[in-house]
Amino acid sequence: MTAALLMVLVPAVAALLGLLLGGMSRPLAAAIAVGGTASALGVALYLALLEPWAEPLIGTGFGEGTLPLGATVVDGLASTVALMVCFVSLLVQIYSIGYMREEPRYSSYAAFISLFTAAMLAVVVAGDLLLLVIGWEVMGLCSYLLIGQRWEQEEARRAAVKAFLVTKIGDIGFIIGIVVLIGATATTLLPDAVRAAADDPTVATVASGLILLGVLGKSAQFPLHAWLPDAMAGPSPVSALIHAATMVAAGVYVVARLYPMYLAAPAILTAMAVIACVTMLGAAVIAVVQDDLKRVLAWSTVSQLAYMVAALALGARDAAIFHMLSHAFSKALLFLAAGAVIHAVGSGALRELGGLRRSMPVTFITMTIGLLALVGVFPLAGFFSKESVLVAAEHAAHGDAEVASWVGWTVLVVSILTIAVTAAYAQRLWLLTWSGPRRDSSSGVREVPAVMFVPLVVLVVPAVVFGFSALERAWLPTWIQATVTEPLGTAEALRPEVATVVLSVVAVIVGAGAALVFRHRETFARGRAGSFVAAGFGFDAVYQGLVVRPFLVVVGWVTAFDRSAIQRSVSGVGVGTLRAGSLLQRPYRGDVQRYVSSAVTAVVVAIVVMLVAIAT
Amino acid sequence: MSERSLLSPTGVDIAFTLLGLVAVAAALMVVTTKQIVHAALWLVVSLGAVAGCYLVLTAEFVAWMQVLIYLGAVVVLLLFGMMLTRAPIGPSEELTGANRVVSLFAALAITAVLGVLIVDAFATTMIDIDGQKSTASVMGASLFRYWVLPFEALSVLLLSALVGAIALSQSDEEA
Amino acid sequence: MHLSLPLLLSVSLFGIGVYGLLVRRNAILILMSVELMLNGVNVSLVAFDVYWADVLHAGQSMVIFVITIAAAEIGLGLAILLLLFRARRTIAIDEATELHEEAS
Repeated sequence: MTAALLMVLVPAVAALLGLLLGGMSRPLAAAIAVGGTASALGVALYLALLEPWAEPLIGTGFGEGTLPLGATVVDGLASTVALMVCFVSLLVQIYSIGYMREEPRYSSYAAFISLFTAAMLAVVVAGDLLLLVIGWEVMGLCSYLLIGQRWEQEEARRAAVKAFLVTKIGDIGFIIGIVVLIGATATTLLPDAVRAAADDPTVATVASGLILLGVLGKSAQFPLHAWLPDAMAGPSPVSALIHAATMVAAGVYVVARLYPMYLAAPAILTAMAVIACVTMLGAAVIAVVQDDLKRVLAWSTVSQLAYMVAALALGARDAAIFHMLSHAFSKALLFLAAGAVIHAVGSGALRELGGLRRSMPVTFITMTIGLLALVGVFPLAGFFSKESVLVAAEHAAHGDAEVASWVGWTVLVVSILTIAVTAAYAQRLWLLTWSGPRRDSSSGVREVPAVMFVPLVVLVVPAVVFGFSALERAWLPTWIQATVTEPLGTAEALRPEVATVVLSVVAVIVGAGAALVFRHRETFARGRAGSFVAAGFGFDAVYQGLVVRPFLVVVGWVTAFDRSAIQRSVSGVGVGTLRAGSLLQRPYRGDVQRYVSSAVTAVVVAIVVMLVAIAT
Repeated sequence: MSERSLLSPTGVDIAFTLLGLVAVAAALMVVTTKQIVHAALWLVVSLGAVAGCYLVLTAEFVAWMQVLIYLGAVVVLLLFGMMLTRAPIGPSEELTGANRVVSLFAALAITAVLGVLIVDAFATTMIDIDGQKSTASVMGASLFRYWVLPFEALSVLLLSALVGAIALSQSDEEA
Repeated sequence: MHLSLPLLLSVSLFGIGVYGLLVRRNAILILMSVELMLNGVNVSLVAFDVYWADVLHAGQSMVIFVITIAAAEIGLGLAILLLLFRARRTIAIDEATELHEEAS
């Protein structure tokens, strides 16, 4: 039993215990959930202190030889991401104690969050492709269960099914890709398989392309992004968990984990860059016209994830992981803050918010910091991580990457545009939530309890200072090295460059200024175009037309075939048997002597047949 | 013991053949006669001839058992049965059913098959009956020395059959 | 003597019994036919017993048993026939057809 496996199993066992015992009392369920996640965080800290980036920790798993299930690999990348996952999960668990105070199904909720964490950790430390698939699929299950936590609401049920089905479309590709990878490399061990696939461009292209489908589903990239905004039907802490620590990060992380294989497939990298550009700008534009607090943040996540995918496409894995970590902190902070607002006000609709600055000071300050970090304002974490992506794009534009330079230029331009749009929707969100006429105290809106705002305050710390860690080569860039698959020493400090900083600062000012200028004209009365954009550029309608309708037609055919052919043939067997039976019944009229005649004749025939058989 | 064909009979052969012919002829009368009481009487003749055959075959005890049980008990029982069921006295066309052709075919077929089989298998096989004599003492020793367990089981079966017959024959009014 | 003589007698009696069993309507005559068949079997049992010169006399013992069973069978059979006669004033076998299922 390696420490890495322990880290996965502790929250998993906590989930099991929570399901079994949590129903007895809420404090017990909370203690199990928080204790399990805290223990996992402790193990993650222990693993990080072993400096796995210098010497990766390899766990051999259970079945030696042919099928080493449960093999683990902990290098810098895995250990740092695991640390982030445990940290965010722990804060979400603590926050949920307050947020879900009125929830009747708290114990199963907390257990599922623990299971979600365990599955994510399994993906993170997987040194074995099967463990990776298991963790990946369990995550899909947990997302379904948690988004559907409030299954009394039609909206939640639909969102849960949608999340499950849409990610499952990608997962089909993911599993086929993993099978291809295992089949082509004849090993299930992740490092061996990745190294072998990286040497074979065909295998690398096919496998990474198929696995990319799963990544697009999990990380909500175009065209499998449609589930994420609807997933807002789940409780806010779940959104925080999905958007920061677990679900969406898993997609980006898997690409980073298998990165040498992706670098060997430039066509896939180009496709990733194009998808990222479409998703980045499109999702940001959609976020501008949303009228629900959480949906703005959801589309913002889609857009920010596209930054990571773009960085991965441009060969800048470190920048992608850096942005993933910093975005995890800021987005977890934002969702928990949004949850606090919804908890206090009772609604997430932007038109019902406003003027909360005085009544919820802690939430106000922390959410403002989160938005600033999201937009990427110096010196917050988002600034440095986003700049590192821009720098990577600039390098790629100058031909320093596996992909063509036009890809780099495209990503650079779209990224700058997206920064402006991001600033615009962040500014709008901030204005609509906090400014405006002050609410009187009779509305009953007051600051959330300490158990909820303490996680917010804790999350502010990394959201503010995390960015500086990348400035020194020996810090974050080293900590996130995938030393299992690549040699150490490729780490470089992720420092902003003047040109991109200027461009992005201009973009932020333009975007935020536009939001300020148009603050009185927009949003509450949206035109037809606005509604179209708000519905995700009508993408759901496209889905409806291209996928759902044809599918229903095919289902109709299948049903008709089932009725007319299969059901009829099945019942035909019964009717036929009855008819044949009555036909055979005809000679049997109760005449015993006729029966005996038949029996005697049969015996004679049998004897003759036997004699003939013996004679010949 | 020399092999001889069927066409060179000994005295024993002749005696057995004659008795056998009587038995077969009487049996044919049993299944074809139009008077039900005659059928019972022909049965007596046939079974008696068979008893004679047993004697020729040196199976003395079996022969006497045949006479005692079949000719004595069974046929009397059958005659009682006829009386109790108001059997018609005199010729009656209703004794034989409609499917005579089918019955004849089936009977001839099985007789032919078994006969061909036996002639094919045992046409030249001879029985040495000299020195054999299954008297009552021989059979008694054999039955009570080697076959006592089936014998006892059979006695229980016979008893239960009798009890069953009595139970069945009781009229409903008494029950 | 020839073994085939008693065996042919046996087969003849059996075949005649089969014919009577199949063709007769009166149940008592059918019982008689059954007796004929049993006698046919008995003849072959005795013949083979003598042919083997069996020390245990298995064949003849078996004939004793068959005769016993035949007696029991006649006793029970007649009892059943009496019941049948009481119920419907006839013992014609082809009129007792109630147990067959009506063709659907």
